[in-house]
Amino acid sequence: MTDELVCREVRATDAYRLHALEETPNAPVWAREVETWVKRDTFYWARDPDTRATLFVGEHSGDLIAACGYSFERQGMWYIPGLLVEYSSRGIGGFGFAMLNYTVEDLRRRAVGDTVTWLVHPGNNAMARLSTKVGAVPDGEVRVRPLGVDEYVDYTRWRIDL
Amino acid sequence: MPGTPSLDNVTTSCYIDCMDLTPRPVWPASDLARRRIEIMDEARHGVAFIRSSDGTLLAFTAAAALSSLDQTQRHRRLLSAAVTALVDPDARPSALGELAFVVDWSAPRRRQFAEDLNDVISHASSTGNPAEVDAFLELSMPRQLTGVVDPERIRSAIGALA
Repeated sequence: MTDELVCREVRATDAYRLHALEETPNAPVWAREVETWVKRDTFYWARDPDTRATLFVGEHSGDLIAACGYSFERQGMWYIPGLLVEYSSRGIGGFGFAMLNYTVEDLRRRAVGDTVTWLVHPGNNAMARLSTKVGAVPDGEVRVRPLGVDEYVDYTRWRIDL
Repeated sequence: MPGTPSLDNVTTSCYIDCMDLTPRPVWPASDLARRRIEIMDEARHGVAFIRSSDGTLLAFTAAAALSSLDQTQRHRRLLSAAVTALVDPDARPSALGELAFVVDWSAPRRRQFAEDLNDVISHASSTGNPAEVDAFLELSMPRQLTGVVDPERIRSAIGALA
């Protein structure tokens, strides 16, 4: 059931609602990083003309529960920095798929022929499944990212040719 | 009607218009003890006017109404600063008050910000939630100023969470 998630581009009046998104208790560092980014940094990121970013939010029963967006990486390449579904809304309504699919479809309309990529933490099985479901494939690239203190993690890059 | 002030009950025969445009009595300070129930009731439901012994007109009202007035003044200052930022590309930070962080922004970015600010203030006024404006301003500030996120980090991989 994904029909109840209403996706749209972010508005200024959503800043407060993004800020107020529920935090995941005892979230692993890689999950906390995305959560913090969405709650604190996405609005600025979306308004910064240098990023050429577009941020979407998803509402369920009037509550803002999800966010996802993309930014320009280089000619022909777009990047999705993160996807968040609020803690209490995960795993119950296919909201992650609806949010990611909406983002990819918007980019497909805007940049047909280009490629969009995103990185998935090795422990994030839910995101790996979602990525497959929207038609993405791991493209063999691995990005080593600093995460936490003295910790480096190999993220898998997923891609869709639009 | 008991408890309802009338000209007979008010030694100062002066009625003034207040916020709800209903003519209100002005109570003499000497009535503060004797008519406290009526005066407090009036204050609770809007505003009660008291004429002090030196002739100063005082207003008793709910603290929430005063807080709302403070917020309105702050919103006026913010919108005024936003207009300054729009019409004067060389405005100094000191002329922009709380909005000094827009000083390095391009004209289109300032215009977008002013539109956003107007939307958020209108929304916050209708919901009575001043925290919306605070959250919007916080999330609009350049990230470097908050000292929490390196812009490079935003541009780099963030990972994903579903």
